[in-house]
Amino acid sequence: MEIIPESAELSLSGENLLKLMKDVHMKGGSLRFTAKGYSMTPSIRHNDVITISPLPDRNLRSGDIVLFKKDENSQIVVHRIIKKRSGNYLMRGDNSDESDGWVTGNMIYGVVTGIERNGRTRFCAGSSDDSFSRSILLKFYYVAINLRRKIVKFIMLFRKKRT
Amino acid sequence: MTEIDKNLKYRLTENVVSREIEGEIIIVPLTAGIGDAEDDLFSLNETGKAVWGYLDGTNSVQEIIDLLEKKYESDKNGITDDVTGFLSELLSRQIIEAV
Repeated sequence: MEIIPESAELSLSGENLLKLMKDVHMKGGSLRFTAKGYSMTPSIRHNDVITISPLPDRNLRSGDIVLFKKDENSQIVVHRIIKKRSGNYLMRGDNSDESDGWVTGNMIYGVVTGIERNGRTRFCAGSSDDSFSRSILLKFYYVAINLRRKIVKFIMLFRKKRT
Repeated sequence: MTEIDKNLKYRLTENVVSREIEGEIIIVPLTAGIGDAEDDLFSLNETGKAVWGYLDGTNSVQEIIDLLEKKYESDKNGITDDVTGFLSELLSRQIIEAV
């Protein structure tokens, strides 16, 4: 009789991951898992390991990276809050041109508090740290990634026109 | 290998989350408050699943063995070794604790 480590083999579907995460959050813990996809590049890259913590006591704010579902039947997504209005949140991936639309607060299940790439911890804009310097850094970071996206888009367009 | 006292009762510790997902029991130990779906996720084989349901602190190890013997009509020594070996592994990983 044995218990079997599942590290390499187990791939939880979004819904099962959400259930497991809710259980972990109920105990006040956080859950680490590998992020898949490119919509949050460069903040979160494909195969980065992210830590999702329970929602903080403070209100969520623009810049926080959160795990949410757009509606009951949709997939779980990890994207950034870009606007907030009367309890609803406008979400967008850092690498996406279009927003995901508005999401109600009860569809947000956790906040990203850690990002690891190749075993090293990365800067996580929008973590639970609420200091003034962090919020300034967050604003700068958010402007920078938007600028980066626009520059990349411009370069791609320029190259396309030349060819 | 951690010795298992068959007169003791065991239960899950506070630092573990378990959930049945698609027929598998998935166990996530919380280390420093973090459940690690990267490195420390476990599932149980069939016999492990059979024992898992009894780990609520109400049955002693000997009672669990007796219950499983009746349920599976299997070799007594085999079941005893399996159960104590399994519990020993869970205990060493701090997934269970004696009541």
